[in-house]
Amino acid sequence: MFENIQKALAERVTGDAALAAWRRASLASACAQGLPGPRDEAWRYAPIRGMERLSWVPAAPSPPASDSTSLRELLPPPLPGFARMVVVNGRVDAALSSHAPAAASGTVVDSLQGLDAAAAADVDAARALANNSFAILGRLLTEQPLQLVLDSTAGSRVQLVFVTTAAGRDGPSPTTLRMTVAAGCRAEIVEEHLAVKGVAAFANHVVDTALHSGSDLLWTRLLVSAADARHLETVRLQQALNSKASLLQIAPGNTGLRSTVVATLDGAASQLQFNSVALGDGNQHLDQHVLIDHRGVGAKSTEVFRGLAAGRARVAFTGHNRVMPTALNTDTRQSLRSLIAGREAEAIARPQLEILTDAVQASHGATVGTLDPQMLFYLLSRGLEPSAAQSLLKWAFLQDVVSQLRPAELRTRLEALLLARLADPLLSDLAP
Amino acid sequence: MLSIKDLHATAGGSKVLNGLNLEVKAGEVHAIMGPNGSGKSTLSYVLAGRPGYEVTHGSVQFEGQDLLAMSPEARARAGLFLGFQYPVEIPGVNNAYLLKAALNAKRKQHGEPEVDAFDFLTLVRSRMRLMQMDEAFLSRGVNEGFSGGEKKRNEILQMLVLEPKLALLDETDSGLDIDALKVVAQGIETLRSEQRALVLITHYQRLLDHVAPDFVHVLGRGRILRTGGRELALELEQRGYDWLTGQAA
Amino acid sequence: MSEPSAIDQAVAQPYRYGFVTDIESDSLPPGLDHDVVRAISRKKNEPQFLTDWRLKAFDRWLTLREPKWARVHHAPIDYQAISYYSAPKSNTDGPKSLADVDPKLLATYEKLGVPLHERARLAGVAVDAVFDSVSVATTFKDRLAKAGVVFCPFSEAVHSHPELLERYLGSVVPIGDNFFAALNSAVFSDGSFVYIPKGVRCPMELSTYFRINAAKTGQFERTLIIADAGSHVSYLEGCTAPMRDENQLHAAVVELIAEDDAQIKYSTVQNWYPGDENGVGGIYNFVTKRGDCRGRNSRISWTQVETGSAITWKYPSCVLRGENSVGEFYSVALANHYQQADTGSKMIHIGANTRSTIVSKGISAGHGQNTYRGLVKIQASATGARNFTQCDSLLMGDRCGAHTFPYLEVKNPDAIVEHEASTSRISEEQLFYCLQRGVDREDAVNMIVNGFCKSVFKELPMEFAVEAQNLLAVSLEGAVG
Repeated sequence: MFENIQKALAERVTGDAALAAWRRASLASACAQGLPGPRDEAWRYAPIRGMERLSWVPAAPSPPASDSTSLRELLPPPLPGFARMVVVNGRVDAALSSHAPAAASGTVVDSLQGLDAAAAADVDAARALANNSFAILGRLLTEQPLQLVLDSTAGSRVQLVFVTTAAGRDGPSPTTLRMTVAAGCRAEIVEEHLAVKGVAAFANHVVDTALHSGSDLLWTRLLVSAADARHLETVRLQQALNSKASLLQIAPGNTGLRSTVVATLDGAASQLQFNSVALGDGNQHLDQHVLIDHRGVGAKSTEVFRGLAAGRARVAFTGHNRVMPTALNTDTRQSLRSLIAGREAEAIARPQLEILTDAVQASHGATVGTLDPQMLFYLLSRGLEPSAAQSLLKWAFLQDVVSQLRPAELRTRLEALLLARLADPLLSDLAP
Repeated sequence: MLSIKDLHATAGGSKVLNGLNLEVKAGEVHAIMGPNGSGKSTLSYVLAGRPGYEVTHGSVQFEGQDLLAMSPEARARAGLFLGFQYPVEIPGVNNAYLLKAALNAKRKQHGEPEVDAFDFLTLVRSRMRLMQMDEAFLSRGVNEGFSGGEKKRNEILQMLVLEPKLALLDETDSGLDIDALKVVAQGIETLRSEQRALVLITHYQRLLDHVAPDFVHVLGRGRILRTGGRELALELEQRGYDWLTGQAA
Repeated sequence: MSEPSAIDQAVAQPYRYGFVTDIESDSLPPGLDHDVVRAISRKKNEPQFLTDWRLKAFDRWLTLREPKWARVHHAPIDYQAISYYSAPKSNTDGPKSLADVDPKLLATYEKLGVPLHERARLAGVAVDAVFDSVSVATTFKDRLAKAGVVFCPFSEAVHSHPELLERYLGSVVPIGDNFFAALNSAVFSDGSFVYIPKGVRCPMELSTYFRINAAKTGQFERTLIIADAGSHVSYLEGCTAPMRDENQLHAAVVELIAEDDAQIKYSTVQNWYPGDENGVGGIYNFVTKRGDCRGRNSRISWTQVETGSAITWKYPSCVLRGENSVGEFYSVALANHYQQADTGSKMIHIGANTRSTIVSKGISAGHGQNTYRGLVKIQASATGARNFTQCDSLLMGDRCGAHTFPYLEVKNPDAIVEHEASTSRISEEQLFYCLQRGVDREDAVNMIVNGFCKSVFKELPMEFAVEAQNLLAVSLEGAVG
């Protein structure tokens, strides 16, 4: 398996012996595990069929010129007060990026160095992710990992835009991001993924984020790829003492999405708020798998998912909350809800709890199915059209997560997008 | 305005209404009283068209139309308003939005243009003052986190904005303290006119001290056991329901 | 502060029903191949279709692997080291009445408190007692026969009702359903067969007591219950097992079939030997239980109290095929010492307006690991389907674990599936409150645990509920210090 990868890597000669050794080790570990399949419980609902037939070595695309109109049109508007980094096909495009003063944006390092340090962590991650060799391959094949050190106590604000313009026939285009929020520092990150329409792009994105003690991260991830694109990603978040993270994911629909998130609350009193929205339509297949591993004393997490499956879409969410024996006085809460809005649509929820100590507060609830009949009747009894009442309740349903979007410019943009998806004239009133 | 003839209905498979007859004319205020389980709430749900309540026999005419053939939203637009006993919370949909959508749905039905934002706010604000409600309510989710009393005020507020021809108020007085009861009663009185009718479904007669009914009906075992004037309510308060419900065996 | 000694004491409560009855066994030597399968079939003088069926199942089993997804760990099981048949020696053709039954065996039942004798009559319970793998006594046959109810050992039904067997056996749990079901299908020894004819309300609760006895004897019970249109039946299953140092494999299959308007209530109190306080010994219980609500308005209800076994692997399920059919699962599972319980239910909604309820109460103590695993699947055809699942865990001590792995798969836009779960422990405040009112610690714990399990116990037949409560109290003595 992966002979192509071995060959391709051999061709990409680097002078760094340590790096080469790490690559060999990573590849060996990926080969040993093979790719996960639908028989692995963690990958049961993932759109990964046929992955083993890919060569996994996509031809390196020539990045389009920064001034190409299609690219410029694709890019989201800059967010006021945010430094912007645009990564096109795995390479930072300086012309499209705007580095703000260092104090506001932190330090950006793009280099291959430091990868070996992550080698051990990778193997560890693979274990935690239940046979996730996708992450290993993604990291291994990335040519230019992006490293972001966020070390401003006043708060760093960065908008990261990843663009894929190439087709993913041979395999996914790899990108790697490492983020560190330094002790006591604050950061606001908006991470957006885009693909050019019509090329059937396929991304394999790997993120490692470390929150040092007392740091605070507000991290919004928009997986707004093109409707014909596929997106595979592995996101790791490690939290130290007293750190606070708010991670919000919006997935308005790819052809295929698998987002694997592993958050480890190592530090005492570390806190995580995870919010996610997924909207599937047509033949889309969206799968999110989130493991929140509580290890530190007094760790606290809340998880909210809202999914909508229309058309023939399949929308799946697994929220696995684990409380280790060390995590005394953990408080973990989870609310997963999905609506089905199509005769052939499917929604899947797995609210999982794994608890290894008794000093814990854990609760979860999941609801899958139709809109609340009582709410619907209330609106009808006030004279609303059934279709309008349904759209309105769908909108309200997503509000639990959408209302938390920051900054306001981003929320406005996303609300407009979601309203267009719900496509009801009545809701035009709600449009910002 | 409303004519119910020999109405039989089931809820969740069991018979709740057994041959109920009721005539309500414009300008009248009717009170329907009765013990728990007598079918009071079922009557209001059947009239509003709630799914799960099945009419097995009988007819209901509203303004000359076959009410039972209409969808819940069509009934609402035709001027039937149900004040719920337990209004549901709808997080994420704000009160102002629902009020406006409901008002416009009704206006559209009557061939009127949509209300503009300014007129709408003026109207709602005046009604809120009447109900002694804080304007902050408007931007909150429908009934979300409201106390029992706040929910009931909100029901009356909706009624005042929508100005229905016939309002069915299901235990609107329950869970209210004395001050709130006065405010709610005042709201109800505001709507009272020659063109409209009110049906107050209640357990106790205390609301009737504030909104004087023209007729009082006692419901038991799914039909009307006795009809009288206001004095019947007072008698019930003194004697309870047993003498009537037992008598109708 | 808490006294660990009290916890340890309670957890160290010895297994009450641990003894071995000394009865000669007529056993096959350990090992499994086609010949053994044929031998089992021959010993039971089975018709050809059943022999073929067993052989087919055996071939299927050879292609299957032990499932690995459950959260249980055990040393590898050597399937060739197990003897697949053992029958107590008695009169050549088996006892005709209680008087014919080996007195030693009756004494065993006495010790276990099995109401086989007068107590059975008084309690109105018909007992089809299984000792090891062969049924030896059945009571109340006459009364049941008058109602047209068939309640007999499986091996007897093979001869008396082959047509029902051929039609229904394996129709709910196919031979290749899973590794353990395939094994059972190949080698099952005996079990119970119940047929309730159309429109008949079974005049009494049917009850079977299982027992494992001979060493190294796998237990492969097979139960088939058919409730024909409009019939009702309540079936009680209870188990105890003698103390053993060696792990014993138990792989039963239970199939229930409910036709139009039929109702089956299946209650279990499972108290197999759980192993000692160091995790040595204990039964490995890998059970496949499934009910098929074939008919309209049919209802199948599973209630289980699982306090025994070293390993419990068991997911009583309902396939809700008939319109308006109802499936229910109520469970209390206890994992103490080093016990591992991985149990739950599957509700497969196929018919319109089908409804299901799952209530699972997991109690973990000592080093026990308790897992709820459940699937609620709403197929596209199941318009108006409803499910409500409530999963609660109670933890006692910081070395145990409570896990919840539900799967909600919904393909119908009108369905509603709701899952709620909570985790709690017996708090010091609760205990102190009880102590202050003069209730001692053990009683206080029992009270709290019983309160926790109440919604399941109330689903059990009365006398069974009392038994279950006592069992839980015994199993948990001192689990909280």
